[in-house]
Amino acid sequence: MRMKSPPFKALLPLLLGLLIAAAPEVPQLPPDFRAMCPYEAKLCADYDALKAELDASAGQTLNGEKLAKLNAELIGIVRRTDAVVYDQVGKWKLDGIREIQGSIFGGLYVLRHKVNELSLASAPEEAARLYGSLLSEEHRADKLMGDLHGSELTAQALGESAQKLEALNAEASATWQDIRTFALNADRMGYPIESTAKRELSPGGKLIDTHVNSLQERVANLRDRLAKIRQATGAGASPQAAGEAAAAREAGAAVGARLKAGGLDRDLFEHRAAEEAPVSGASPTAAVKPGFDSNRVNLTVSPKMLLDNRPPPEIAKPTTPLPPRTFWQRLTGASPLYGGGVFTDRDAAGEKHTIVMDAYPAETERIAKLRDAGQTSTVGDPGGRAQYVFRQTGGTCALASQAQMYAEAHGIKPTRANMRKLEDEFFARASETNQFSGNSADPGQRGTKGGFGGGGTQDQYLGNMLDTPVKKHYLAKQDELLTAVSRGKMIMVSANAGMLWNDDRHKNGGHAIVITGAEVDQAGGLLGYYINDTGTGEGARFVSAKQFLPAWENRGSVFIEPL
Amino acid sequence: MRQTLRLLTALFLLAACAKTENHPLSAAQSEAAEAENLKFASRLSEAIRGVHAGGPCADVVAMEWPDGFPVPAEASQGRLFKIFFYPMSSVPGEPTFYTPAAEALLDIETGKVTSCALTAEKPKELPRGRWPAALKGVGAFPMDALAKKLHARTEAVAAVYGSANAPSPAGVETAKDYIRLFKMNAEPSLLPYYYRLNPAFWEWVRVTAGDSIPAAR
Repeated sequence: MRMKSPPFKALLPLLLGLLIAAAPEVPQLPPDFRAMCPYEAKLCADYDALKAELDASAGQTLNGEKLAKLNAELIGIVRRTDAVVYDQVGKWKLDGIREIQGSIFGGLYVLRHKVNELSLASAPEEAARLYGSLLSEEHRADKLMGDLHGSELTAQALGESAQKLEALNAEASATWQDIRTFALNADRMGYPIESTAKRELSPGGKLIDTHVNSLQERVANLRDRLAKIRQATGAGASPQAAGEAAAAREAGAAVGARLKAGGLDRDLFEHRAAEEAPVSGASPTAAVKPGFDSNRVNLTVSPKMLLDNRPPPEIAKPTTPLPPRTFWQRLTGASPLYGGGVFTDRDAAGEKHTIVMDAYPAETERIAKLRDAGQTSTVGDPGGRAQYVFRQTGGTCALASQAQMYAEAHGIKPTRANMRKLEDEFFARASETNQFSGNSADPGQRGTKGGFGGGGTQDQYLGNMLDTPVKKHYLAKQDELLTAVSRGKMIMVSANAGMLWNDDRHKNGGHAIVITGAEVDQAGGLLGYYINDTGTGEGARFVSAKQFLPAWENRGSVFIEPL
Repeated sequence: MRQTLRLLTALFLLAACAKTENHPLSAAQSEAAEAENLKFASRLSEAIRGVHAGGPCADVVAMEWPDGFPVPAEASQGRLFKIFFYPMSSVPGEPTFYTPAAEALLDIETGKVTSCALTAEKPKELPRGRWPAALKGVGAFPMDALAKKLHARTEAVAAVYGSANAPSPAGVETAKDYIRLFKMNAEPSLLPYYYRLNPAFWEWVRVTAGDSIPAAR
């Protein structure tokens, strides 16, 4: 006899209860940095160690070296966290990822705050006052002006170059624009730590509204800046021999004199000035402070001589060379060099408009043959760097170009999502700091859809999102660009879009792209550049020198080189 | 058979010649090709390049914005030129472009920008089709050469315009050539904005050359 089974309906609540009990519990993550600990044990251990060290140091007066060390550790954790968040959050597959990111950054903020407290406790009184005033600044221009005053106070406290900074300060009231530009420049490039901290601690601009950084970092940067100014003005040919104070006084007087003649502005913003007024007397290398690391130049635009003091550049070997022409390509005559696509659209009259981006295909083919014959060398990494390219969203070519450079420099995986996210973040930062033209309160100016498009990045602000010292070249020479590309990093340039795309409808329009490599002949002469273009979404496009150079020179021969 | 072939060839050539003669493209094309060979250089072209190299425009003009053609400024003896910049989309395809967003004053003696400011009016989108019909198919590089030729002519006409004396016959010819080239090159929908840069200059061109651009309302 078969046993009668209980009715299903009666069992339903019991089954549901069992299911709920057996379901895995959704982890409730604590609201701090430890949210990522189940996934990033080493990073968490470093975080805990630093936190413990800061707690143990609470209330103490630490020396600059110790503070700098703590700060460096903090920045290391911030940067690693940034990479992890970008790289790993997708894999964690957690809901509410934004909140978790907020928690992580909140944890970092706790550390940052502790370091700040220690800095303030350890700083001299007037520096603390300066630091406090910096934190309370609301307007960017005011803040930058404050930086300049602050620089002076700090320098006096350290007994360095007071005269020089007095000259700067005196000039500030009369030439507000010069000083503002100078301060913008110094702030961005002298304190990459500030912007990094701000961005990373405040992803949505909500957590903190002010810049934070350590006093020691400012002092160190100030020292570097003074050294650069000293070099730029040619003063203090032998600072070591004459003693730091004497050299600083000399430099101060020289800067003051040049300021009055309007020379400093040229030194800072136009490398041509260094050519027009070369340093006389000592040889270029004699002006370099012993032990000075010229790779850590903090000025956005350094006089040319600083870079000339570098050792001769080595031609970087491509890590992902483009393959030579295959048998099939040889057979069919296909070029191994991708000279750009063919695009078809409708023009204003509704007629079909076909654009062949390569303006000189015969030239490209000639170079391809030389390359096949082993008579050329590839500089840089055009093949490997092609993975960073993506399509920009609106008038953001400069920001999208920087996103590629930033991703490579910081080891961010170049997924489309990551690159778009970087582009969005850069746009937000550029708008926040008035580094995107027009009315930054109008989101439509990005030109994504509707509203007022046609916004863009002013030449002066190119490269400012990179959080690293850069050298900005204006009216540069052709060989200067090739030399920069040969140093191995991605280089951003602006070019005439009409010439670059071989489309007269875009004549005279500016467009920022990234140079990822170059093809040179056996004598090292330029044959053409490889570019990543976020306008077309094309990577490793080869543009012959015949097409590239006029397009580049037409827009002021501008290029941005990370140092 | 041979005669038929000859006839056909002659007819084909005639048709080709007739087409070339009547098509407005050819004048611009040949002039652009000539300009490309001659490679016009002028202080004005160099000064325009310098807009991107710091100075007052550095934090005003977006790198993407195209420059218009410079117009001689009043009472400057051919030394100062007004120029505007207008927003334009920087993605491939038919671009959208706008009325001028910034204006600058160029000094060709120093090669520098003397002043630069955003315009008071918010830029408005203009109808598509940036260039005169005659330039269609000329190509980006020849068009650039043609623009450089216009820069050189602008410098020349500015000297005539800035002179205290009445224009000589050669000066009149310069003005005629200038207005012809300007009309060949300039964006039709921006003509009122060119006029506003210096109405007195355009009226002087009208009197001197017998032709000019329409007065802006």
